[in-house]
Amino acid sequence: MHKILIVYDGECAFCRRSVAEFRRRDPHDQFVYLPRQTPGLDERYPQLSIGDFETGMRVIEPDGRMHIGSDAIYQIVSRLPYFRRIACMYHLPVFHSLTRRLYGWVARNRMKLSRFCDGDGACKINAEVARGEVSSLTDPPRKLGENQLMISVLILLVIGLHPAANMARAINRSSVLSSRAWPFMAYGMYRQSFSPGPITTTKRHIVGLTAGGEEVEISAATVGLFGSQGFSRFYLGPILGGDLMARQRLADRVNLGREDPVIGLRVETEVYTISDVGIKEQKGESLMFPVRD
Amino acid sequence: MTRWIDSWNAYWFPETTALRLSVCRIIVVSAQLFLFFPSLDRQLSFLRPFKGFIEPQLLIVGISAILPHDVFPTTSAFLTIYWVTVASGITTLLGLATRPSAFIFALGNWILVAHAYSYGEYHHPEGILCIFLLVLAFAPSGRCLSVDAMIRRLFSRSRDKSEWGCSERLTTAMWPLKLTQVLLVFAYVSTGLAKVVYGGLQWVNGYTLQQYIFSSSVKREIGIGMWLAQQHILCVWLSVGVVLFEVSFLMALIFPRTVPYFLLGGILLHGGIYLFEGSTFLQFIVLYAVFIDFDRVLSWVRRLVVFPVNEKLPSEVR
Repeated sequence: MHKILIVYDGECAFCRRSVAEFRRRDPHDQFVYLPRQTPGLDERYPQLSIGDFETGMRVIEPDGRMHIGSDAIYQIVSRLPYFRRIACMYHLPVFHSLTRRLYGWVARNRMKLSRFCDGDGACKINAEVARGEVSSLTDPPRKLGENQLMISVLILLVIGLHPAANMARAINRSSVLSSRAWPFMAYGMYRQSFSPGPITTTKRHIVGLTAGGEEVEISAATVGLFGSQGFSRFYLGPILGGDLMARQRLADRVNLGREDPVIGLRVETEVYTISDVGIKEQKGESLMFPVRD
Repeated sequence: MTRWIDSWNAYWFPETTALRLSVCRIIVVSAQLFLFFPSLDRQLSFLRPFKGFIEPQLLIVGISAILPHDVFPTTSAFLTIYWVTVASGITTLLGLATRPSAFIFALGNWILVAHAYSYGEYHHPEGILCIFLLVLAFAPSGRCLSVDAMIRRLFSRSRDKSEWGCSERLTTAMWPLKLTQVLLVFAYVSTGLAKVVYGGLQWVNGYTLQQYIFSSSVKREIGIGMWLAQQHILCVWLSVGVVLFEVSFLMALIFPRTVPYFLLGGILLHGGIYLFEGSTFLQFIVLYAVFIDFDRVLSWVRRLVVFPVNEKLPSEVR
């Protein structure tokens, strides 16, 4: 025998599905597939009696070497077209360890996983295969997108990440999961309420004063930001709070490529209020901040 | 346990045609390509002359960790990503090599949007739509109304050439639509509950909505918004309506007959937000397509075309 032998659990629908996938992706027909339940298998391959078959699939090479579990999967995948390059990651320590653990979990729970197989016949106990007839599995192989188990995992993952983002923000507003795991974000915009009273809003903008006496309007776009949210969080708000580093960071960005550098920042304020006669606009106090103290 | 699994399968994997999914593919991909596609100029403006992210999204952090800095993030990288994404969007729209095209289109959009949100600012409108684009790659969205279906038909050995794949029944054609429905419900309900929990009854006192509309309309100089912000009684009713709409949106999942009313409410809500505040959540309106039963719409259209309104239906049909 020159082909590589794969020995799998014939009573496990999940295992039969896996074998069908290998068969489908192996255009060179490199493997022979035998269920563990094949009569006389132990006599033909004595090495199969080593260890507990519950630990996983067996792969036996023509020279008699046997691989078990995740090592067996590696031997198979590394011989399949398009998967060879991915398979080499198995040699990386972290990936190797994770793969072995994942395979161990799958092997222990393969019967439970088999229940997620759909009902088109691919996952029913195939008595002929279980008796050991080496025949091609007649169930049509299914694409990843038609594998209901994998889809269910994907659904749970996508749905689960959304409340996770909300909870993360509730626990810690600056948590990574609440604002940096786009598109899984906390939804709770406009949740703050306001007490009865005058409706007022403030518009602020920054004007840069250069060494040559020129005035430069500084906005989010000037410093390469997307919109006002980031500009307020990283520059306007901290500058109003007296943050010297924020002033210097802003000036450094504005002065990039400028011959006449900005040396001072003036924050101008306009206050708008809804009154009985309409909207009133008032100039607020202008605040001056030198770029460097 | 078996009963739970059966219920799960019955909800997420009912046997349906691929028509609804394919129509949604066409609508959403068209909208993303022609209305909401990230601006190339903006993507490149982030890269020059300033370098360095500000609170980058995890996706961008991951890509930056894998690729060398002279490859990503660079102008040539984003030019490549941009045009590959556009091309894959067109092939996804046409339904040519639909699954890989949809995957590349989704991935490209994820990278472009995440990049834009890696400079100290992030918003919500694109999130669910981009998730929908990604799940299209794992579903048979090209099984119908696509070049793939046309090719399959040409090479089909079946004597019946009238099949375009739209009447083939599948168990995996509904779950992307259901997933998007659930995500939309989650977005609305969590937003509404946040208002109730954090703001309490004060949220519907009228002053709260006036404050939000006034702040946005003044910042963006929207005259009609500034007008609405002065209408206190109207804002009281609108704020009650907003909270009720958001908190009760779950009913659209439980009672399908209420869907048209919620969709209408949503269009009014997002249209109003855009008109009065200038904030665009138009992506949500596009996603309402996942609630529409296009199988039924098509049968209505067929009946109207074959049997115009003035004619009575043959008794066999009735």
